[in-house]
Amino acid sequence: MRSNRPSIKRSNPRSARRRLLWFISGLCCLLYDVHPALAIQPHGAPEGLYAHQIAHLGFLIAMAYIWLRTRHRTGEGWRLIRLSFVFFAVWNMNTFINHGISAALDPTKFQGDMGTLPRYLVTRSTLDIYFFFGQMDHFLCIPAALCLGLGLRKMRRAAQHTFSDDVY
Amino acid sequence: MSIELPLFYVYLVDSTGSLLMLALAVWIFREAYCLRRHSFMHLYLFLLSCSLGTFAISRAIGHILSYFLRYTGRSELWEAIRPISGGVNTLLFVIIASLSFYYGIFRNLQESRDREKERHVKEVQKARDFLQMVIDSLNTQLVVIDRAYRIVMANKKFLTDMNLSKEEALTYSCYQLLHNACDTVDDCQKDESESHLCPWKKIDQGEAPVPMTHVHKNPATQEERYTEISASPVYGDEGAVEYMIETLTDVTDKVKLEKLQQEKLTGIIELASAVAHELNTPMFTVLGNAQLLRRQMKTDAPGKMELNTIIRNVKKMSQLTKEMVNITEYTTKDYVDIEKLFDIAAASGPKDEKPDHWQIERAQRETRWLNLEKLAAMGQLTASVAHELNNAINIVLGFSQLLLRDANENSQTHNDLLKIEKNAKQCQHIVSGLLDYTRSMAREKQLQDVNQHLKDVLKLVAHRMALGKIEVVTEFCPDLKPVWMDPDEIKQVYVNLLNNAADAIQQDGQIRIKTAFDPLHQHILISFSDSGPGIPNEVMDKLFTPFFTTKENGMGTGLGLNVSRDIIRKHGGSLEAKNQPEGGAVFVIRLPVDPGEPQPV
Repeated sequence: MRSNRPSIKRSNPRSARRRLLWFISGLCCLLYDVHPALAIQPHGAPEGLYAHQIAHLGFLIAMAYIWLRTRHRTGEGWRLIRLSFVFFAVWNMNTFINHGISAALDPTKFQGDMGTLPRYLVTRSTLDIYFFFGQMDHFLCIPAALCLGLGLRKMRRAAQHTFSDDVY
Repeated sequence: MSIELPLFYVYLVDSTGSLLMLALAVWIFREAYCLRRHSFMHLYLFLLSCSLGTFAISRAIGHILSYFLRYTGRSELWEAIRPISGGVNTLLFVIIASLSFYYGIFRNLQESRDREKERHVKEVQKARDFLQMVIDSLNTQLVVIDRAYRIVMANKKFLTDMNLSKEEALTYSCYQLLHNACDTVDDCQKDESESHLCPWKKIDQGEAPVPMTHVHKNPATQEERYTEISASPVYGDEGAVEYMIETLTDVTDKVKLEKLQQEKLTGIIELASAVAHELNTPMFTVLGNAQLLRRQMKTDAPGKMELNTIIRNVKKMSQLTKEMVNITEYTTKDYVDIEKLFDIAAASGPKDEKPDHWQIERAQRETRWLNLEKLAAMGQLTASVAHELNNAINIVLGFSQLLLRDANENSQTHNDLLKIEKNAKQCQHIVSGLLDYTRSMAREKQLQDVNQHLKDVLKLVAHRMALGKIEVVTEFCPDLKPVWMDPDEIKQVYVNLLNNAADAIQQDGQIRIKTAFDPLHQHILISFSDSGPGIPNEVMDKLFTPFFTTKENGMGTGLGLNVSRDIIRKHGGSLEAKNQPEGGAVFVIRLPVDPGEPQPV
């Protein structure tokens, strides 16, 4: 008579032996050159910039993603909101590039004194010129915020009249 | 080549932009705050705006502070603040990105859920539509009523009959719509004594309600209709009855027909009782005279055999009359008056066992049918007895007339025979009333061979024809298709036409009966032509007018041809009269050959 209990599948003894051999080999490799380990890894100066740049990239990708997700929406205010996503994405790209240029920029290119602020930027390349104009990123982020605000206002007004799914 | 670009513009744009961003951040936050509760999308926009606003504030403050501190020569302070400002901005970027991605994931889930929901709604709608289609296809009215007596659903038949739209019907309560004299449910329930038992009551008692008949008033026509109601409970999730499905069938015609039939049958029974009573005197006069005559006659005298036949038939008449009396007594004695029975039970029985309206309704329904069935059977029996009685009377009358012809006019025998004839005619007159009444009962058509039927009728009138020395010539078309007809009614037509022809001929003549088939119209043609004087042209138009007769006073009622034409018309045919070129009148009956199922006349 067959038992109703589930049968335990026994592993093949040869493959078990092979796995044990691999484990021991790996352990030997690790123990070959041993150094003292620090529990907390120190973080140097460039990490802050990298984290910030990665965050900019995340912001940029998020804006592109949300633009794609909402591109078929036809409700009140959506056009302006989508436009704000585009502006924010472009602003992110510009800021990402400017942060990169800034890190590599020769400090001697900043000349003159205005308190401790430099008065001039001596540009010797296109990147320098881009850096100068890229610093005026409010020309991108103010239209982005303006479009977002206007879009939200339109949407609020429409939502006050009707709670249709169109604005949803 | 190097160009010196003034950083002042950068500082100016940056400072002004930062201030503007501060203002915009507050505005965006305000706009988004108003939207936050409308939907998930709005919540996302609110959180995004909050993050962007915080970032804008943080950045603006950072930039302004940077310029201010550096301009005032406190760069080291700015250097201490800078990583904090940068860190906050980084964190806000991460939050904005996370929010956007979470929103996308949530929307995906929601869209998939919406699709599922939409599919589910479609399936439910499809099932609903199918159910509605089935309900609307019903040929009886169907209505669903809730516990508050409100109509929550109605089928097409109900709405059409009530002349209401679906929306209108749902605004009514059942008592307002169907018993529109009732403004409240209490008014409606007061009516219970008048057969307005509410089906909800029975359902509340936990029993399936018996079918019941209500008198409903149609709101569209204000016409009162008898409606048979069958109600079924609809149970909710918790097992309690939440709705009631009522199917309503208009039985007004049935009830009226039932009542009419009952009245007719009761009428027959009552008439039969009166006829039996009235027949006694003339019948025993005939018997007495016949027996007296027989005693006076010698054994081998001519006419003795006829007298014996008369006596035998009068005795038979007496027996049939007794039978009729028995039938009427039996019918009236065992007629169950259920309401009386319940009245007695209610008055005498214990309070708990008193019958309620439901028991009365059920018992009434059952006994009504029983009584009706019994009445129908007794009516049928009475009709057949009356028919047999009539046959016996005809024989008595026929033989008495035969004997009268040979009797000496001035003899006592002649006088006695005249008495017999007179009384036999009186009997015939009495019974004919009952026969006419029984003939008005509902009949059924039968598939009948016209030629054979005519032959049977001719046997009935053979004696009359023999008396007038009228020769009856038949030219029957062979292989005629059988016709759906009421043989008794058509027989009445044939007899009427033959009697009219015999009356027109009076003595010594010929009646020619022909049958033929008209393949073009699929009609059977039956013509009765006589050798009489024909129909005068001035009366031709009035021939079928009721009570019009050319016969002497007391000889005809003027209804024969009118009734005959009506009977033929009822059979879908026609009756025409015209004069023959060679003299005499001809009546032509056209009957359609009906291959369909028999239908009640």
